Formats: sequence, C-alpha cells, structure tokens
Amino acid sequence: MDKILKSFEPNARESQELAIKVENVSKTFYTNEDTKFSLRSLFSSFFRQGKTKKFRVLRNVNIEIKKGEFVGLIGKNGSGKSTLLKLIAGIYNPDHGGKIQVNGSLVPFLELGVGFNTELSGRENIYLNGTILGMTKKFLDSKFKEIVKFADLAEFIETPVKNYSSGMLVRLAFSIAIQSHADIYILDEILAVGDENFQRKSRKVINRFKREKKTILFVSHDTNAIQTLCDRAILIDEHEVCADGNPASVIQEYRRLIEPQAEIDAVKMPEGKTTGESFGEKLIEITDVKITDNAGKQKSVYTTADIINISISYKNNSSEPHDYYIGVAIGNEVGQVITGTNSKNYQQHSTLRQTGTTIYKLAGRYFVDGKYYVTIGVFDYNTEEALHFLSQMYSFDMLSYGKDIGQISLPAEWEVS
Amino acid sequence: MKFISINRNLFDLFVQLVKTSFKMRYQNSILGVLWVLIKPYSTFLVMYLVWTKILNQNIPNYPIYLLLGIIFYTFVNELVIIGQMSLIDRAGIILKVNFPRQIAVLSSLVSALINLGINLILVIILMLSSGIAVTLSGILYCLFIAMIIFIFCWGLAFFTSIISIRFRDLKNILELGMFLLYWVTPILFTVSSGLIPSTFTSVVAGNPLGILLNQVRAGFNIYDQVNIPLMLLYMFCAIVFAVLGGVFFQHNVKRIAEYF
Repeated sequence: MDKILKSFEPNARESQELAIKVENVSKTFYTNEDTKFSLRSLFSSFFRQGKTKKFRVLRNVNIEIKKGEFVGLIGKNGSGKSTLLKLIAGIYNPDHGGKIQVNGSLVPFLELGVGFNTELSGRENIYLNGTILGMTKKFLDSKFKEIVKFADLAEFIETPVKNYSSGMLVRLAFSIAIQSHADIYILDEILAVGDENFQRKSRKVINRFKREKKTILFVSHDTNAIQTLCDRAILIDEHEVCADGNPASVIQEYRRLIEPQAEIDAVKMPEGKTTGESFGEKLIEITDVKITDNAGKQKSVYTTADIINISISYKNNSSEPHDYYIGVAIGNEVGQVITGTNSKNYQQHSTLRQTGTTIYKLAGRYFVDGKYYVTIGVFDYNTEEALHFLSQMYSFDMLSYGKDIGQISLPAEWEVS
Repeated sequence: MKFISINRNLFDLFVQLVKTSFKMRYQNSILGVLWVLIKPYSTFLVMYLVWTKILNQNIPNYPIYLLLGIIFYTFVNELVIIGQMSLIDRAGIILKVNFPRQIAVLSSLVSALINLGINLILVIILMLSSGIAVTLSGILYCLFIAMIIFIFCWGLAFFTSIISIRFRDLKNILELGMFLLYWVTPILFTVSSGLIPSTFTSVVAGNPLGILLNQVRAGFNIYDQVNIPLMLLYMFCAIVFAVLGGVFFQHNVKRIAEYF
C-alpha cells in the first residue's frame, strides 16, 4: 500500500528533498566581432550582418542536489564551472528549454566583498555588503560586534577600507558573509585566499555549515579539500558533466583529464619521470628505475590499497666487486622529506659484481593524497659515500581512499567507551 | 515570516544604496553637502547678472523665477543622466548577486530627489525673506509637479538604463539632448519675452517641461496661472509611461548580465 501511495506522489516528495534541480540546462554566449556597443553598430548591422559567434559554455547539464548535500564541483579552467554557478545563483538565465529550480534561500559566495566601496569605512561596508547579501539592518546591528571580532579588526573598523591590507579585506568580507543564514551556499574557490590562520578559520566555518546540514556547492581546484569535505563530486569538462559521484573516483577521472601525458609516458618511458638532478662519480651506476604496484603494473595514480614497488637496477662500472647499499627518500610537493631510509638500515649487505636490482617496497597505506618525489642513491657500504645519486628524478601520485590529513597517515586504534 | 524579512532586506538594501551614492558624491570634498546648493546658486548668480544687468531684461520677480527654473532643470538633468547610468554604475553587484534590479534604478534617482528637497528649502527661505507669499498650497503644488517629473523620469530611466547597456553612447545623446532642452525651456527667459526668434516660439511654448516649470511658478503666484486639470493629465501620462517602462525593464533585465 505504501509503495502504491509513493508512486502517486514521487515528484512532490522529490522536490521537497531537492535543494537545487538543474534540468536540461545549456548556456550560449553570443560574441559580436564588432564589439563596440554603440549606435553605429546598430546602423551597420542593417546593411551588413556582423558575424555573431555562438559560444557554447554549457551543454545539456542535468544535476540534482539534495538538501544537506555537500557537493564539490571540479573541472579545468574554462570548463563552464563558474557559469553554472552563476546560472544557479540566478545571475544568468539558461538557454530556452532549460530550467533551474532552487528550493530555499541561496547566498552566493562568488566573490568576497561584493559591493565593497573603498571610500567607505569598514563599518559602513559591513552594512552595505551585508544588505547586498540579504541581511537586514536590524540583524546586522545585532551581529556587528561578532563580525568585527571574527575579523579581528576592532581597531580599524572606522577607517576607510582603501587603507586595509588584502588580508584584512578578505577577513572582513568573509566575516560578514558567514553571518548570512541561508539554506544553500555556493562557494567559488574562496578558500584559496588568505593566510594560514584565515584558512583555518574558514575551514572551521565550512565544517560548521556541514554540521548544520546546509546544502553546499563547492568549487575548488584543491582536490584535498574536495576529498575531505565533500560527500559527492561532479566533474565538468568540455562544457558537459563528465562524472558525478564518489569524490575519490571523480578526482581520479579529473586527474586523468589534466594529466593525459602521464598515460602516454607510461607506455614510452618509466612512469612519473621528472627532471631532477643526477650526480656522483658513478662507480656503480643506476641504469633504470621502475615504479610499479605489487602486480608489476605501472600506474598513473596509486591508491592507499597499493604496495608501491620501486625497482632500482644498476651496474658496476669498475672491474672490482663492490659493497653497496641503496637509499631511497620520498618527498612531498612542499619539499618535505616524508621518509628516508636505506637498505643498510635493514641489514642488507650486498656485494655487486656486474649488475643487480633492488626493490624498495612501501605500503601506500601510510600516504595521504598528493604527488610524491623519489630520490634514489647507491652508496658505498663502508664509506657511505654516494656513488650515484638521483635527486627527485621520479614521482608518483597517490590517491587516498581515507580522509586523513597531514603529511602521513599513521595507523591507529580508537577505543570508545 | 521569510517574506517580511526579504522585503525588509530589500528596503534596507535600498537605503544602503542611496546612502552610499550620497556619501560617494560628497564624502571627501571640503564643502561636502554644500555642493548640492552651490551649483545651482552659482549658476543662478551668473545668469541673473547676465540677464538683468547686461541684457537689461526686466521680468517681474525675476530672481525667484530664474531660481526655480534652474533648480527644476537641475532636478530633471540629474534624473535623466543618473537614471541612465544606474545599472552600469552598479555592475559590480549586479554581476555577483541576484536582487531586484529595480532597486538599483530607484536608489540612484532618489539622490536627485533629495537634492531637490534641499534646494527647495533654500528657495522657500529666500522667497520669504524677499516678501513673496509662500502658501502651503503653493508648496504642495510644487511637490505635486516634482512628483510628475519624478515619475516620468523613472519611466525614462527604466528604458534608458537597459538600452545604454547595449548602446553605450546613449549617454552622449542624452547629454546633448538635455543641453538643447535647456535652451528651448523658459528657464532664463519667459515665453513672451521678445528674445525668442519666431520660429522657435511654438516649441518653447509647447515644451512640456516649460509648462511644468511655469506651473510651479504659478503655484507661488510669480508667473502664469495655475492649471490643475492639465497637471492631472500630465500625472496620468507620467504614470502610464512609468508603467510601460517598468514592463520593458522587467522583460529585458534578465539578459543584461551578459552584456556588461
């Protein structure tokens, strides 16, 4: 009986739960070759049709976002992300045939400090920006102290905003914006601004929104942020929706799109080779380095489920056998060494006659998302002198299925009582 | 509850925009709001001296006649020019936030209304000090006519603000138009003074702005006769025009974001 009743009102229930519904939306911009907006162009077009170029920015987009969902929107620059946001925010209108439904109040954070007037003081701008974002004067009066406190601008709130540093501007704008109590927020890469302190504050606020079950549409190039914050990710490429679903897999798809070269490289030469430095007398010379998973497959992106095998092949350039060990250091994008060790530490004492291979196996489980650089060296066992050293010549990408942050992911246990 | 708060917000936004445009014009200037008065009054001084001393014209109650003309012309000029720029000037917020764009237009026009108010207060003081009878009916009539002008120009602003986004040189055309209007309107002179060449008398006499101006003067018993039925007709036409403008605006405003 319940099922029958449900079948009679599927739409009503659906629309109650949906925050945003984008139906069959396309957006075309027309650019005139003669872009002078003057009456002359009006006359000239009577006699000669100026070439109007049709520029399709979005094509047949269909998206449904439920209330309380935290959706990440990723895509290359120029893929149409910002246009989609502006369409949802009501600033642009979809082409004929498309429809956008929004259930609930919406505040767009497309730019911090919308309407900010540099001649006015911080106080005056709070009211100006606040009302532009949909708040009433009464509300702003009650929240004024809080806004100033969050932005840490008590001393400067009466001075003209043109005298503020960019950091102060961003803090003020953000502080005002987060006071808006809307059901739906659209954030367009705003977390990328500000110093570390500010970034931490904004993360806290975003987390609060998440806890309060606000619907959030989040555009960013920071895949780490998308991974940690979003329940769902949508990839837009070439003006269409390419992928929609689990953030980890959508990000993988995104990586594949922005680094197509990596695929080609995997066929031609060792995966993840980057330009680094090579030095050393090369008494023992490293001839080849391969990065693969346990099955021997070279991948463009490794996951935390993989065990990374770094296979180093080398040859003896001298006529004498040589005692040696191999050292490997793994660094992250910021230049920090995550782990550095060598086979001597692991009691591997080897003597090289002509050629040899050492495989360094590392569990992907301990990594967080990111790109890692590999530094390899072959050392004399006794003098510990570097015979051949390849600094950051290789790299691999790690995609973590977990949501840990930091430099590494340490195994731990939780006991809850 | 939400409906009320949305309307409250729109009202507050309107107030903020008016405050901002006012502050922007007078914030850092030394004389500040006094500039509102200085422009028309210095124009008045020059014109008065030229007209009475140099050209030796003698129109009864000329100072107030001239002053009222200048003030109202300034009012119309501001309404037209600022109204036309009202959307372009607010491009920043229009491109980032969705709010009823009519507020952007109206908030620009209100500053002209405030300027008129300030100027009128001073004129009334001058009239009283020079012995001219200022009646309540005169003041109300004057305000009524100001309303006719305001409503008409609001309708005009609905058209021009949208059109000028597509055709930017509309601004130049309007400025030229206002300049020409100045000289075919009986601000400096009267319709009957012999200075106007015969070919233009009909234009000057028939000029609606001239008729409105003379009605303001008539309200204070300085010139001409009060003609209430005619003013009611004018008000009706102004309202119709404003409504048409509103329809045009509503229909076209959605597409402006792409033309900025």
